[in-house]
Amino acid sequence: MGRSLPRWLVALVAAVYAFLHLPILVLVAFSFNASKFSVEWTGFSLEWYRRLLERDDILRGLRASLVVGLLATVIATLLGTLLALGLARHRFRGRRALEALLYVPIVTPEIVAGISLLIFYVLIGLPLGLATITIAHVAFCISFVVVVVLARLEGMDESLEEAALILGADEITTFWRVTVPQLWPGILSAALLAFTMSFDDFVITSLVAGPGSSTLPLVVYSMVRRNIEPSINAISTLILLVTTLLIYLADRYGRQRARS
Amino acid sequence: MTGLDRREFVRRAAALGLSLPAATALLAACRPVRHDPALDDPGRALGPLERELAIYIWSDYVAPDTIPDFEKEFGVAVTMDFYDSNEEMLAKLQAGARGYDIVVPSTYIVEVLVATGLALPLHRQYLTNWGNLSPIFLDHAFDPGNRYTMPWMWGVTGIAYRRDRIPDPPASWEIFLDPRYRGKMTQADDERDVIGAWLRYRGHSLNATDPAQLEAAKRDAIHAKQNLKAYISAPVKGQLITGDVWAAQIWNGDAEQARMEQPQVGFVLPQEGSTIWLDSLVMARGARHPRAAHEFMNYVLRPPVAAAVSTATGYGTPNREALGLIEHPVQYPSGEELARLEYQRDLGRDTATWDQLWTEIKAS
Repeated sequence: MGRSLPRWLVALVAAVYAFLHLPILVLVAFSFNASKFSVEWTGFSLEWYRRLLERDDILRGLRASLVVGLLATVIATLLGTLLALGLARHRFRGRRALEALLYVPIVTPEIVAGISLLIFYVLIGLPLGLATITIAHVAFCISFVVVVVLARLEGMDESLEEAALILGADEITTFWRVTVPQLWPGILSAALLAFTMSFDDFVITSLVAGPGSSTLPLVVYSMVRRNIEPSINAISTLILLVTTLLIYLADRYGRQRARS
Repeated sequence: MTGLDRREFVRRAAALGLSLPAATALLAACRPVRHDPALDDPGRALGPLERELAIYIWSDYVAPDTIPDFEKEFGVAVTMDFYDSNEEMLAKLQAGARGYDIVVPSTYIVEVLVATGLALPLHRQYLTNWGNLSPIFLDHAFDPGNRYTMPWMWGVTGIAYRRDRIPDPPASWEIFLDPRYRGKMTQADDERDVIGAWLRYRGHSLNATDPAQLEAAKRDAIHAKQNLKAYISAPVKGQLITGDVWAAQIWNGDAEQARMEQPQVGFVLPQEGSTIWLDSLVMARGARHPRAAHEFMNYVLRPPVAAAVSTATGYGTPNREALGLIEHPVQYPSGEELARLEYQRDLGRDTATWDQLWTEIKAS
């Protein structure tokens, strides 16, 4: 404690953090640039934030991303948590196979997952749209949720639940009052992970999107060939601001709970 | 809380888990409307105007008011989705995605869409403003008689350059072989444009499939690559403006956008010839709003609407009645220039050969 770190280590840490965060700072800075082309600083301007209000395509994309992201997160977290509980607390035939199968979506290249989903949707005649995107996102998020929640479950002490049962609580009460509160940090990080993955997924989404369901990544990508207007920087800055705020609040909430 | 026993809990949890497949089955029940045979016969009347329209188009390819004004006037709600390349759109349709009413392919993709039955014929009786189109852009080999396509925007590929850095306008594709400008030049990130330019340079068609001609184009392309900063398409505009790039293979509309920010940017059409491209509105198989699609096409054929789109995008309009309404219209190519310009055609089985060449060029 209090021992100062070697200088090279400090430099290394600084370099890593700069590498991670400088591009984001550049993005934020250029959202206030007057020029239409993000290459040269020509003066401070809020033009791109104002312009955002006129960019119907970007706003619709954002809305689609939020709808899909929230729905997929809720469904995937719910199903994934239940699946993790089942896998961790019950011994049944085929459990290992089931667990191994969970890793298939994680290691499958996105393009393969996207194409097989698209073919499947076309086969059963499901019209492409927000529903198909949501189902696809739930499908690839569940595995990640299960992995995260399982990790948390493994670190949990089952004797607390046993104690609750012995002291007369029924299984449901035990589940809600003992298991869930202990599991909560795992569920929360799983949900955050699921939302992030859903929000910025491009490959699978681009394949299973239909008329009127372009998410924000699809809208941004379609602009790449022509010119990426700094409105994109503006909306990215806003998203960054909101997520940072949410993470800060979640962190503070977590600390308060830990203290009480 | 205590009212539930274990069995009940499991049952409820299972019900939640089951709701997903159940929803899938439910949605599957509302399959898309069956294909209406009237759509395949351009002589037959279409139904009444639908309330919706789905357009799948390149990004930033309409004016800000184009869609809202159409929605207001016709009472049709329009959904727009965007793609970044012809191939992306084609792949989507070929995989079986349905529900887009209008797509906007370039010439060589039109041929594929027609050949695979993914394009539906236009019902010309609903396109009363058709006469506004210039004959220059009609009746080409990729769609004889314009049975399927309504010309939307056109342009040419040429060389944008910095007048203050390159004193003589680069009259030939040869500029990219000039070591004096090494590291200050770019070619388009597009196999058709790059290989096409080097084919024209040796006097061949930019749709060539002859192995010897392609081999020569590949050698020239690799030779030029030593001088190039990068293969980059429209986004090179920014670097032309700042002066990081002095000469770039680029579309005329993008060169014009760069010139508006930086007056030192000039544009030439190389003497050996180049690509003239034309994007068209096409009704896609599976269209659910054919009447609205036709009303939209007829709407954008109005001179003021076409003029606004051309002004907003910087590309040329094939609508000759619109030219007078545009402040700086992209002028139609002269007869002499037209003779040097060529539309891109579908390469059919030779597409794979071109892909292979492009991979070799990029990897060299």
